[in-house]
Amino acid sequence: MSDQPAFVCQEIVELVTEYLDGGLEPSERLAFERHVAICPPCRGYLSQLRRVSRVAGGLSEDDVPESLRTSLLEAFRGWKSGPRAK
Amino acid sequence: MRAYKFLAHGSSGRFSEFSWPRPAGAEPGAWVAATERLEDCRHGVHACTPGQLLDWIDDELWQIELAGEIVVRDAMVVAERGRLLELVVQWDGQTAQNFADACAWRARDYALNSLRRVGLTDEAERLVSAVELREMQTGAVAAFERSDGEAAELAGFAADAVSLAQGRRPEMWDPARPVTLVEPVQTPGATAANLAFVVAHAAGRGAVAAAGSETAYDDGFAAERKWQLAWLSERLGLPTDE
Repeated sequence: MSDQPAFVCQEIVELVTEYLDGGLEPSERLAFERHVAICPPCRGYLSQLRRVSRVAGGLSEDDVPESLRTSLLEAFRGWKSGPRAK
Repeated sequence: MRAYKFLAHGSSGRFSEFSWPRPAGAEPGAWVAATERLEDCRHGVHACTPGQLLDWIDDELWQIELAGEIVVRDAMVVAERGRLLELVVQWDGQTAQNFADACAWRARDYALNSLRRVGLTDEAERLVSAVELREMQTGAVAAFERSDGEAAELAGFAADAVSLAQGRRPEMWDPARPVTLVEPVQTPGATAANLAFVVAHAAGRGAVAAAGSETAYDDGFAAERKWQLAWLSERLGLPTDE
């Protein structure tokens, strides 16, 4: 087998943020891209995440309406204090 | 240096998302230059030699001219500047699908070799006599259910290969299930890239089974990649660099 790292889909999901931030080592970047090139679901995943990143990256805190901000904060607090999902 | 570059639909880089300037008439596209020092998968114009095509299969294949500093790696070529010269028109959705189908038939061959090796000759003959992929898949599923070990593994790969060639998930062996279950719908280029790799892996597993040694994997994988590259080179009229 090759000495180069080879990733499976789960690792691609775990590494995609680091990849987009430019944080992977050169050999890992190459392995990441080689996997994405031959894996249609990972191609789609990377493409979707980039779209989300572009859209979300254009938002500031001020873009969130106060009412939505309040309801989101309540939901997060409720989630944190509520029973853990099994 | 002349090289090749696969791009996604719309002539955009799969990883950079850069929209490449296309040639206009007989004029090549505009030069695109790296803005920072060359770095693999990060900075520079990335392309490949004919022998490196299989790793980067995508929707469009272009001839590209590279200039300035050029670094040839095992898996790619990275250059300071590049411009698109000409679309390889032979590589289109139909050719990609034909390539995927050819790879699926190769998976059949690895399965039947294994079935013969373990003495399941009736199951092997059923695969030999199949003239359509779905018929082959039915035979592969039946062989999978009647075998175990290497034969089951390779018959399973053959059945998977037919699903993959049709843009389905590999385990979707039931032909009655609609293709639209796959979301998002993938392009023939993505299907071809995926299936070619899967079948090379099946070839590696078949080589391991035949030799009784895990060390045979690389040779089996490489032999299948060589066959795939020859298929592409012949259909696309590309030179070989081996």
